[in-house]
Amino acid sequence: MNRTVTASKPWKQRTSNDYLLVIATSTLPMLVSYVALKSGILSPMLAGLLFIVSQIVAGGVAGLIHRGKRGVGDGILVSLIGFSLATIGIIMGSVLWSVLYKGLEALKFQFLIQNNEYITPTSPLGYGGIGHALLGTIIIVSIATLISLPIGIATAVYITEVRGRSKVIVQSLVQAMSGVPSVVAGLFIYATFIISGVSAYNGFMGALAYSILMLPTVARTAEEVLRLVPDDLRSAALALGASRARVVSMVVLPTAKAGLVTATLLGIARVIGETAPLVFTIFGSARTNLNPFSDGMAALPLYIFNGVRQPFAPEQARAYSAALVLLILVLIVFSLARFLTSDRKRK
Amino acid sequence: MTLQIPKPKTISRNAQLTKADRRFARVMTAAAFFSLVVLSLIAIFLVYQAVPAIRDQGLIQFLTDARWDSGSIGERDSDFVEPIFGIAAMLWGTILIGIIAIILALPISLGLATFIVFIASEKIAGVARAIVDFLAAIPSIVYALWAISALTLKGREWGEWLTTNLGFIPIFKNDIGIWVGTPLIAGIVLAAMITPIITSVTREVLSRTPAELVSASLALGGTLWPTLKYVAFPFAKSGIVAATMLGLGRALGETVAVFYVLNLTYGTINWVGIVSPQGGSIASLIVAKFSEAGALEISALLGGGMVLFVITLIVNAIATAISRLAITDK
Repeated sequence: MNRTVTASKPWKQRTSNDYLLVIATSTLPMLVSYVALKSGILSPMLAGLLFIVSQIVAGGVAGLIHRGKRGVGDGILVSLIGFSLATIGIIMGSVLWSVLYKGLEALKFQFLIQNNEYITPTSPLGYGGIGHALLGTIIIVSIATLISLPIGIATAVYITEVRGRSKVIVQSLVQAMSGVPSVVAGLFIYATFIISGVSAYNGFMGALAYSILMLPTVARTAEEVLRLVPDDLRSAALALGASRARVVSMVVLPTAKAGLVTATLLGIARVIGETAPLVFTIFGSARTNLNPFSDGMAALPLYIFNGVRQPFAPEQARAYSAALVLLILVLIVFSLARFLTSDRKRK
Repeated sequence: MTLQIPKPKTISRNAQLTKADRRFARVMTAAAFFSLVVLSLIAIFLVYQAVPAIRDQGLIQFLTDARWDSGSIGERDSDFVEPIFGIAAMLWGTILIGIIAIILALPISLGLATFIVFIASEKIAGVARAIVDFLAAIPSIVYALWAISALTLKGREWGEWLTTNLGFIPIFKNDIGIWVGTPLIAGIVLAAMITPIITSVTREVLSRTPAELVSASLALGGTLWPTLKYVAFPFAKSGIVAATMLGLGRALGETVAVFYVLNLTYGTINWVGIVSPQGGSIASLIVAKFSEAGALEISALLGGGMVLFVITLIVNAIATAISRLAITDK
């Protein structure tokens, strides 16, 4: 075969045979398995297995045809990667669908603003809501942010600006702290403050537990953000006679402002749906309680956690709706964080 | 010859510091060690509160006994049952579902990370990254609802199929005839939750593969698979192991998602039967028993929390050590 060499990337050229090969490889196994399933030759499970095996084989064969012996590995690899993409896609679709499907039923405006007082698990869906839990979540997360943000940023400043002797140790500690299971964070607050009678169950205890989980996320993201601040700025400020403290507070931190907001948002996204810490700390409430220092407080995750345990359909529907609201909240916080990051990169 | 750029001196070692600078450095240092304070306080208080139960049960028995019985006081003396708290079944159950989760999540994560770094165009990779990050941000309670409403149904079918067709293998044996609440289902939920975490760390590591090595491999005629096998994966090996350990740490400590879908069994340890409804999870145990526990049982639960804390700390320390080694290697 005589192919003229052109400047266009010859290794990227595709002939119609190649396309045919790709189409055949990606449809044939599915088709065969589907026919086997529908004609009743194979049970659904075996048909699924057949699909997976035949898709892998087909990938290998396609590679063999396309590139010879060395193409086999690539073909199989592409099949496997396709499977992992499909799996994660199915998981995401299924997770979103299961919350949407069951959660839309109870989601009305009233659901967002009313509280759960006088509501029993069997009350019809037109009554009651998660207003109290939403407010509770907002209060608890805000307090947790107030606690963990300064400490988190200071930790990041220590690592990137002060660059002290124990930088590596601090980094490892933050890493270790990010591995603390949420249930342990809750238990710790319970063991420290509630068993010993220092405090009763209240929103502030939940916020303390949250801040333990939030701190490492804030610290690590802030650290990455501060690293992005150009050294020239620091040198320039130092050369102008600024003290280190002033360099940090007036140059480094303002430069990294958007990134620090992102760090905060990621921290919020990390904790806003955490349930386990709340089980041991805030007790829950059906009333709207705006005082984090007295009495039990409601929060969205705990509301869902308790609601879904009830065997009654209306309460379950409310729990799923609350989960939908929680998911939307996470999505908003998360998108904000991403939006800010992309904004920063564009500059 | 390369130009040697002098490294900027650090504050704490710099002799020409003003008083304000020193104070600033001290404050920041104090804040930075806050995490150490919290970690030690967690250990101290959990141990302190767990002491009554451990003294009552004995540390060895607490760790090796599979029974968890709050005891009972009957009307007659013979009805009295001494409380027994052992976390062996829960401890092994935690590890078992963690292993299942890793086995399921690791290949998927590797595939996804490879796709994002080496195959997808920049735009698609960006979308895939966003999706993975979003999946990592989905709260565990949402995964829990998914597990209850969707996964359990499928998991029951799969489990039953595995037992009827492959039941002769010990891990797929099920003598009870119920396929709900199995370690397999719990493991799948955990796998779904940790896949994004492992993926994003692996992606990070793979994308640091030196471009010239990849180009060299491609120039030598290596296609995708050889490039991955001989260049990218060896380069990222320790990073991938660290990512796996991170995922494992998360899986071991996960609470609510497991709580709803795993049937806790006390008394016997289910060593390998992943489709048998006899599971264990320390975190779930704590949540399940917490609300009705008396003082001694609470203390035992806190002991369980302490064990969980130590395990996750060790797993994360290994992850950190491996990734640090990987950095200093290069």
